[in-house]
Amino acid sequence: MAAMSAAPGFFDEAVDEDGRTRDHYRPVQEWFDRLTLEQVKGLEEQRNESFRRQGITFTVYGGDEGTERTWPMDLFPRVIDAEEWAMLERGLIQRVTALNRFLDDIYAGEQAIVHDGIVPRRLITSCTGFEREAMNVAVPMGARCLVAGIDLVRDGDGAYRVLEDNLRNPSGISYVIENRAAMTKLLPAAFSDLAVRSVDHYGRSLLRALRSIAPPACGDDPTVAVLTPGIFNSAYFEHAFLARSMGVELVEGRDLVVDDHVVAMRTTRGLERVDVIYRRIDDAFLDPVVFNPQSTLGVPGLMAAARAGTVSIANSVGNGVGDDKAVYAYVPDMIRYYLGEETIIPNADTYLLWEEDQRAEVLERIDQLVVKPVAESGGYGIVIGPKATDAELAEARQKILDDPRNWIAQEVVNLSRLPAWAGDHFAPRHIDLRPFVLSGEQVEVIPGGLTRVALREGSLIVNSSQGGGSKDTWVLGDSGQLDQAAQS
Amino acid sequence: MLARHAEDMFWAGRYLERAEDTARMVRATLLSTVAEPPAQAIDRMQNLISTLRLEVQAPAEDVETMAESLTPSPPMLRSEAGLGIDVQAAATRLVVAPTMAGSVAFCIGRTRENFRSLRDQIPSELWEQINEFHLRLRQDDFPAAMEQDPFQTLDFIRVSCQSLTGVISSSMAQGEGYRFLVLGQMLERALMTCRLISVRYPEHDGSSYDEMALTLRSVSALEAYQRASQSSPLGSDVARFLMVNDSFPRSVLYCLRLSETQVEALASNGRPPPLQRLGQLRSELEYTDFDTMVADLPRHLSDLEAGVRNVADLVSGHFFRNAEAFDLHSQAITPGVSS
Repeated sequence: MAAMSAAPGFFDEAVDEDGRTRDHYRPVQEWFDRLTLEQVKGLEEQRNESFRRQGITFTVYGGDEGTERTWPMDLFPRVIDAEEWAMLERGLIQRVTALNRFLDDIYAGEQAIVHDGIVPRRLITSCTGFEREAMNVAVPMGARCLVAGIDLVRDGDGAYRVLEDNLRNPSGISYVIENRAAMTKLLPAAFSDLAVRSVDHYGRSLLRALRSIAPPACGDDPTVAVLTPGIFNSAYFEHAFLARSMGVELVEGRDLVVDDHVVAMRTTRGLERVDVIYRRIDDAFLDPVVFNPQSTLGVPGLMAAARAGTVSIANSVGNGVGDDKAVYAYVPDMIRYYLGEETIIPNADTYLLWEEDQRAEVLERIDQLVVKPVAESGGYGIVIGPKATDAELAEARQKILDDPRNWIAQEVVNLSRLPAWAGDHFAPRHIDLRPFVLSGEQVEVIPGGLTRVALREGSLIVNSSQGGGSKDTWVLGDSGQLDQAAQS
Repeated sequence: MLARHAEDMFWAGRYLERAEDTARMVRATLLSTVAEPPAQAIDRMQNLISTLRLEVQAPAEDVETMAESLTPSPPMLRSEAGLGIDVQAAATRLVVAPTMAGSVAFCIGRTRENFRSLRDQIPSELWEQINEFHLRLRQDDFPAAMEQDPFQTLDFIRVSCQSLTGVISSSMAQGEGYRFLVLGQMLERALMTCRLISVRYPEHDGSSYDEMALTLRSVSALEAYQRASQSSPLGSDVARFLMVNDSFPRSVLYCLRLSETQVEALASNGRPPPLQRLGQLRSELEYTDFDTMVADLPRHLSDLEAGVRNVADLVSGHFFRNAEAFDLHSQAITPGVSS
């Protein structure tokens, strides 16, 4: 398959400016170069068959009903070399450590960062994700972002930037592990050539982190459960995957009861106490007593139990204040404030719209910028200036003027590119990366993460619901194998 | 284990068993109709549908559909199963109709749904198998395959069910979940065998070897019967074999014994109501003189059937709904001992 040539304005992951394959991609590129069209098609078929058989699907809503589609994984992997990964790992640990400190400071501490004038008070209290119900609910070790998904992109110069933080219920880790399992079966030879770092241990690491935040009173064998909204949730596959890989119960709200501030699950032998809940239900549905009273997914009394310290909930309630997109702009300040360090992975350039001068500039250049609502995730509500119609731009302008706190603007980031299969050949497509970071006794990054790819030519939208796919992400180990392969 | 998971496991077992039994019965019936005149063949198919018309008690969300299609009046069943078209079409409906409660495709769909909510509890291999089987039954060309080559298709279903059972017994930890699944299978199988005998028995007196053979073949018992008894089968002999033989795995007695083993292991203390009832049923069947029983077989069979259904209710009340009846303030909550 033909080699890619570099295009101006975009950073190509696999080839340099002169069109030469970068060293860490050489074995992969050579491997794919040797494949014939028929062989690639054969691999594609094997992959579809295997995902279909295993029921590895996601749900697309819209149309008549939610339909299950098999997970779209592109065959061409993303490769990150050891040195580059070491930098990313340091940067991610730094960022999540600072975010944990920030959330703990706000909810259970002195709010020192506010008193010291680093972050304005009104910014915190105006976050939709700020939950007064979570005030003074302690979390052991302050591990509030037990699982964080940090979305990274590479700009036109190839520099990594953080596009957004996901500190509430980041999903996608199951696909990281299933992608790897599929790739290992499809291209076993490629793995024997390279020292690709394993991702299989995620379940163990997650369980260890969850057990580490158990209430101190519950002894040294805490009971952990995963709380899911149920089989109709689009991420149910992942919830079941996580419970299975940790060997713990997958419970729904109706399986739990709270009595005298003790949370228990209904079992065949009666009620059994639960100490740590990894919930995959949003704050608003968690406990109808304090949040949405209409919620049938949650557990009445759960927040009171958390406040009494008899149960730990991960991720912590109220984390939305940490991944609000306006608060995001302050993360480099948090890193400096709490850790005394400079930010290793910078933010994308961001404009805060309640600041008058920044707002004026944005309104002037709105057709060149990306405008985002601060509290959404999953790409909802975003207006991409260069692609929007005049009417859409006028509407965005008005929304900003009506409620400047609710919006931010960013420069368009030219996502980097990597070859992806386009039906009969490999062609460059835009990608991003969501690494997963676990906080417990220590902060740990799972090597790689979920690489999402916009499968449509020229598209920058990587969401799987909108024609996006994924790629296995290979972090190379420190061993000399790659160098040998590159030299031979 | 979670009460909800235990219940899903139990129902997965029942639906899986029902799918396999239905496929066996359809196969045996079709085999008998091959050389028969159409009118007789239709009667035979109607007879099969009566056998399959079981009142299955299902969890709340199932009650409506199950009740609708499993206990309709016979005329409804006739049209629902496509009778009046031809025997082959009716057999095809019983196998492939995805929304007709009790069809093989329906039962496998339900088995899959139950396993789907148990994804974290069951081995991945089991999920892959049921998923693949389910998808095959729903493929566009499957009804045509059933029309064109019913025996091969029914064999495929039987083998698929058996390989699921194989995966269950060879790769699933034999803890609580496994026992609830086997319990569901055994109770469903006992019910199916009871129904088969009660529908087929009236034809037995003075009937031909072919009729006996069909009854036995419907539960894959012909070979086992022939080895156990060299004499040419009499109606009462066949009934005796299917009810109280203690080594044939589809006899009612065998199913009750295996059910009892499961409940015994599941009961954490004492002899809970479902175990008492099972013991009672089993010993009645085991120790009542069969010749006495055969004198009033229809009554005995309907009592037995009611008894088995009662056991299923008691299992549900004792294991699946127990926590609801708890008085929260008087019950101590077991501190974090994971089961």
